[in-house]
Amino acid sequence: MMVTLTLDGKKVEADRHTTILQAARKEGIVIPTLCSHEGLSPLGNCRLCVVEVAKNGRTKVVTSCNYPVEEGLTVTTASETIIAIRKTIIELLAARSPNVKIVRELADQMGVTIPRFTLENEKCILCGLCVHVCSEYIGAHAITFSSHGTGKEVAAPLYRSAKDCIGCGACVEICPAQCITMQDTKEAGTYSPRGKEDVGPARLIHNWNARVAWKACTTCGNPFPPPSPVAYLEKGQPLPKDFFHICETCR
Amino acid sequence: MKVKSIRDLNKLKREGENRLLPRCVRIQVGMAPCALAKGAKGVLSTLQKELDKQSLDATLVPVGCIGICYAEPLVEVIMPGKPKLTYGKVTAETIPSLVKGLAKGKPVKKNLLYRTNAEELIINGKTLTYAAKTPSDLKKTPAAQDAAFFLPQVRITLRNAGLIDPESIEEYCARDGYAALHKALTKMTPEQVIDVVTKSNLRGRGGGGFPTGLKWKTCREAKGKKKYVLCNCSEGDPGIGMHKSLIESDPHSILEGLIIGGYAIGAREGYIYLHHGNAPAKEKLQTAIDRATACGLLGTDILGSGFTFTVTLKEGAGGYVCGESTALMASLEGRAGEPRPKYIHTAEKGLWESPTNLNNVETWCNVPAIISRGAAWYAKIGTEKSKGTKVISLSGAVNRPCLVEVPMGTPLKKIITTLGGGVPRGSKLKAIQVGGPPAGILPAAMADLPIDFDALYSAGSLLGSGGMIVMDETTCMVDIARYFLTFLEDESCGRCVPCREGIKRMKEVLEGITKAIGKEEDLSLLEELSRCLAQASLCDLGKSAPATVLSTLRHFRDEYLTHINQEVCPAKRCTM
Repeated sequence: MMVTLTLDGKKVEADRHTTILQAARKEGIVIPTLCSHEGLSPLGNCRLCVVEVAKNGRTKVVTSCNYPVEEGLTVTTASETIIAIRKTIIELLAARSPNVKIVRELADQMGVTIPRFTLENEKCILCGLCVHVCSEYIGAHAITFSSHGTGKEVAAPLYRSAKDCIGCGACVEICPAQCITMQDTKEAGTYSPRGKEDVGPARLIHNWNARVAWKACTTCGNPFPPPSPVAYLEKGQPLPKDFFHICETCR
Repeated sequence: MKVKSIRDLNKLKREGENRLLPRCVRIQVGMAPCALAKGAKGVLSTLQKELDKQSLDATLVPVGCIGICYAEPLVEVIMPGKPKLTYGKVTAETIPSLVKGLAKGKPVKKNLLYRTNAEELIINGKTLTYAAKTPSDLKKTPAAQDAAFFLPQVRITLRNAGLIDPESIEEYCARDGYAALHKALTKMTPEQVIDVVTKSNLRGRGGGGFPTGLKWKTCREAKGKKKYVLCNCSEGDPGIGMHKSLIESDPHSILEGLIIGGYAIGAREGYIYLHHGNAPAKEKLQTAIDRATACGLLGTDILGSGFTFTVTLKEGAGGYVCGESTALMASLEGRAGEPRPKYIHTAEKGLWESPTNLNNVETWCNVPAIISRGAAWYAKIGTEKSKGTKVISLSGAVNRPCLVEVPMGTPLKKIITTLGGGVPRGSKLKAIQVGGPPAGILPAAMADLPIDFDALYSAGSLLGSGGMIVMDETTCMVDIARYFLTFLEDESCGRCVPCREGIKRMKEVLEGITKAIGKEEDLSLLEELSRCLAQASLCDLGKSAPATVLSTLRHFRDEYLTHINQEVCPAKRCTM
């Protein structure tokens, strides 16, 4: 079912099950986001996508990424209030992570030069996309948010190593701050009092202390690194069942 | 015994009456958190020893809090045919003479606060008489119903608090407990129950003041096979323990309200969500649930009506934010207690994606009284738009910190002076905060404001939970704003940027001002951050976090400027 709403003064039609952000992007309206991904359900963490909605004469500020379109809704995506809120948010983020490229770019676009707060140097902006893609799309639930408030961080369970990680690297590719590092190695080993234990070729994701041995292809038998699921994710398609079991060459 | 009819209920009631007005002496000792802090445990054991020693035939009953927290430990004595006597500040030294007096039939006057000849049972309007006449030796003792402390109060929610053994379902029934449940289940349809609650104009006591009847109706009409009713006992405001006290004093009234709510909404399951680390309250509630289940007031075919309802007690892992409805539900489901956006209401998709109705302890406790006495009776109490009463936990710079229940419309000043005994001699009232961290601080000039949802909201504050903190001139307003932000920074879940980063930065700015390194631009920066937090935060914790800062900036801007320009703290709190 379609509903009609007003987006920045223009009457548009949108599917009832879409969000304001989706409707606006379809119309070519640019709304900045940091924690939104087209293949995943909305999170509403970064709050950059705020817009003003008016209904029955009442105006309120909502996040467009998770607010469903409604019949007769009037949406303003860049009012003075909204621009002021976005500027404050990006200033807060720029103070937290002044060296993250995407934050710096957005701050430049919005005209925020030097934050008025003491600068920190966090590499992670806590958008939550890595945790979200791992649990919602991949279904591995390998990483999680730990602690709360200003001490919040993404980590492996109990700050140890992510035992459930399948090494798909979706978290690495989805991270807008590019702060997750991954490495493929032909010879991974563990050093213990008993000596060196060989694992063979493996994938390491450093942030989660994860070390995942390459799987042998079920067709040709050769070990291969886990393929990237992002192409499917971006199209919003589910992964084929044997996706992580067959190597590129045999596929 | 399974209660299946009004006859069974009356049987339970008579058993309770025999306990409340026994043939021997009944001694009630307050054992709520306020009393325990003042050594009530020692009083209870000394009393028992002394009774054994003087071989006096008496029953010793631990009860909850009657509200006179400033005079704890409290002991109440009921002797057959004599007025009930209330003793305050009882110590191990005064107990032997007290028991001796009881044994002789001539109660001692030392520490005697009040006598009660008769009291009105608010739930049915009847009178409970202890003694028809006042013995000549007690004529000079003030009567409780005329005392300044009780006169302004209407105790609906606290109707049984401090008067019954919280672990005894019989004593609860003796004061007409579960009669409202019987009325609702056997004489009313769910729609009629909702109609009565709607007409009573009961509004949610958790802080928002949302009309309860409307909330119930939305949940009843929402599509879903399973529905849930929840009771929010997650109380986290600093310095306030009213819900804890209420649960420990009268757990059955919460249960009764919850069962009636479940019937009205069409839910078969109820959950009570309790703050972690609240062992006495947990114990009392679990006992109440077990007793109600054993009596057939919970479970299948309640009171022979065919209605089935169960209640489960759940303990959260703690966290102030778990008092927020969606975070509470996430925690109940076993996930981390983080809020989610509420663009789809919890009445439609709440706990496990099912229609859910959440009310707090105080709201649920009001329900049996409303059902029992009708909407018109309830709507007569209070102001035009805020009906009924409000439990106020009074603390801070007052002579008598206490737990009271006043009709809506009572001026703040009256609560401070009449009930709280005024601010201590030598100091002056400076500011009042009514509703905990999300509420703005009001200056002394606004002390004439009434306890009323809308009046306080339009004055820039909130009725909130009703935890009233009185501040005198020794309180620095910049420091108090900093204190609340430190509390909220610690309690923020850290999910959204404005709340996580914003509160931290606002606190940093305030710390700068209290350390005399603030600038005048800081005030506009604080206002800018406040606007962002209030509008863009995900949940009400972040949205209401700037309240204390904004209200102090509005009413006490001079104090901020003195800190900045003269580098002096007028209250001499901040170390410059």
